[in-house]
Amino acid sequence: MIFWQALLIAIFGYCSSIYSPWAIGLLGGWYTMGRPLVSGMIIGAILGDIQTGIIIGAAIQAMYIGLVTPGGSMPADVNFAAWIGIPLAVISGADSTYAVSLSIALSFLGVVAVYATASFNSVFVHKMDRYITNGQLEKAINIPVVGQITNFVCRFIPIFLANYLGAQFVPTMVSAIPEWLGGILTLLGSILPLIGFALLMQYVVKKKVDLLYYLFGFILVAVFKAPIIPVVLVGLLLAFMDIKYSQVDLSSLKMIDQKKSENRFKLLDQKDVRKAYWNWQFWTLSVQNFERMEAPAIIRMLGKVKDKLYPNDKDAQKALLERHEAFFNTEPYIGSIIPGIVLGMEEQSAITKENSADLISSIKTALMGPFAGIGDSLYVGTLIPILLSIALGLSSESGSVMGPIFYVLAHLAIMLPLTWFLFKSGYSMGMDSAQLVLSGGIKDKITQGMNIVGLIVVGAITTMYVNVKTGLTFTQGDMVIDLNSALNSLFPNIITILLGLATYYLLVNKKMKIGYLFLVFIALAVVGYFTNLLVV
Amino acid sequence: MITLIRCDDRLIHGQCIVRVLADFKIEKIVIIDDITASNPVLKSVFLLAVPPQTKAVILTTDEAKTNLREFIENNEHVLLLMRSPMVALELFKSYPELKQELNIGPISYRPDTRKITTYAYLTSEEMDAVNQLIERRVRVYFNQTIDQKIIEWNEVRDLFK
Repeated sequence: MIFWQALLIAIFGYCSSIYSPWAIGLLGGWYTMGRPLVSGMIIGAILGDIQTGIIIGAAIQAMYIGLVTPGGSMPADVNFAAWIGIPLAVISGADSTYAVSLSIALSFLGVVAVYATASFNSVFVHKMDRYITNGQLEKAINIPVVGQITNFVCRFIPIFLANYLGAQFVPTMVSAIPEWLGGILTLLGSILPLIGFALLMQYVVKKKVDLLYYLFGFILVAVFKAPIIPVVLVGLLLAFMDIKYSQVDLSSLKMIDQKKSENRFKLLDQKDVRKAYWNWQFWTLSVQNFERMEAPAIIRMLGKVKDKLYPNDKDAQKALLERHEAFFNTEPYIGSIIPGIVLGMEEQSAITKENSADLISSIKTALMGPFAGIGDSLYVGTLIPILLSIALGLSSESGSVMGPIFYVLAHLAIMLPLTWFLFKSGYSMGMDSAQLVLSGGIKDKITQGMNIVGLIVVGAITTMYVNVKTGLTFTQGDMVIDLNSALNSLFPNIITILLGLATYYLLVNKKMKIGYLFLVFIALAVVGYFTNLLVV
Repeated sequence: MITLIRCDDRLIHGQCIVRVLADFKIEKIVIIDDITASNPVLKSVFLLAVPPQTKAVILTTDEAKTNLREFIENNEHVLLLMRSPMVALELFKSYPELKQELNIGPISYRPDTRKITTYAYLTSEEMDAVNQLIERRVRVYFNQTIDQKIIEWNEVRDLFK
């Protein structure tokens, strides 16, 4: 790998890490370029082999598809796994299953970077407090920009060095791996996606009978060889039939539309509201820290419009920022209704000159929990993995760019308008908006529908990405019977679906921790390899 | 049947909805919080935010002191959720038959708090409540989600002096 390739990979890798602001915060970064499937496409383009990049990215993506990390509890971080694991695998010509096995270690290293960043950043938050106290408001507002340095150091440097230096010896290392170890790693990498799928299913399966949808998706592909697009359409049809018979009341959303157009006296024009929205989108997690979490982003958002709210009144501006120093943490995107509400309430309070600081802060604090709950389960835990599953289906085997491109477009086309709608509703209607967007059962219907589509698609990609066979044979008279063909004539790819359901059982019914599950899989790969019980 | 008693100052957020409900097979959440229970709009936002297959009840601390028995005695898996250990102490006092275990999840930084773990910050009143719970032989432990390490009160007891 030459210098500029390592440099470009490090820049993109840094921009797609969880706390990086540059690509509209997490929306275009962590949740788009940071998904290994999309990372694989970018890395492949830089290294001149898009297809291989996507195939390896897809393999790693499959394993991490169900990884949801709410509220700073972080079991694994895919940033290094993707931006170090994929490029090194591409240049060493390693099989994608190798890359999957090796990415596990890198994902634990990624967690170290997360904790290091969020611990160190408290320093910047204290600096921000001091700036506000001293009236240096512009400096306080710029803390999310300045504090980004921690994330830069923790991401750019390791990714650059690992790629630039690793490129010189990793290919030799890979070719020096003895055959037996290579065989075990390949076998392990080929079954590991089952853990990812089981993790995802644990959130999506509400009743045990829902597993039938999963089985149905599996059968559509394993038996009927359906490509992913018809599978999605069948899923949508079933979801529609399921939802059709229950009432959805859209009148509350119509009320939002009406109320939004109501005229009221304002200090902020459309442009200011947009500016506040974009500042929230970009800088939410830029100085992520365990002590105050997203508070600096709220301060930045309000700071950007402080001259409109309190023109030429430095003391009022200072008081405005000071009252938002407190801890604030929600899921930034479904939760973008909350900064909207805060902005609207601060504007009203600036107009009426009434002191509503306590009211604003109690509403802000009360809403951050419920909206984080909805955002983490509906967006991070359901929408993203489902779109990724469809994308994985589009890229399976072929390494086609259709998959990552579909994901990027679909994800942003849903999330940009949705977050703006939520922010805007919060701004114009205050706390009522929170109640209105949730009433009428729309959220629950969407969840229900997405879960059905999701399970069918996950069933489909299970058989697209995992194909475990047994190498066992037995002799009957003078005939050697291959157990694998015997089983497959009963049910194609049966070992994969049984292993997949067993993984789900261990995770959900036996509550096995992910670390132990990895150990079980490693043991399975070792035993499987030496006894020929499992082969790829 | 009360499956888990947990302090978490954001009450229902991602960890609770995505992890705790599934990990403990929770069927009903009983939220004990004076602010939420007494504000109708807030109360309805909370009730709407809970996933449809989970039931939710929101009580004030006073209501909880008199109405908790039905949740202790029925067969559903119930999560008792509150913001602070002070509320927990009241409940343990009113209901000696409760399982003597309190899980402290994330409680956020406030200006007069002490850091106990990376996610739990307690005021002196809250630490005092924890100490009283310990005296009552309640097991107090810190944990966000079950895949992470449990920190027993004993391991951080020095911070409580």
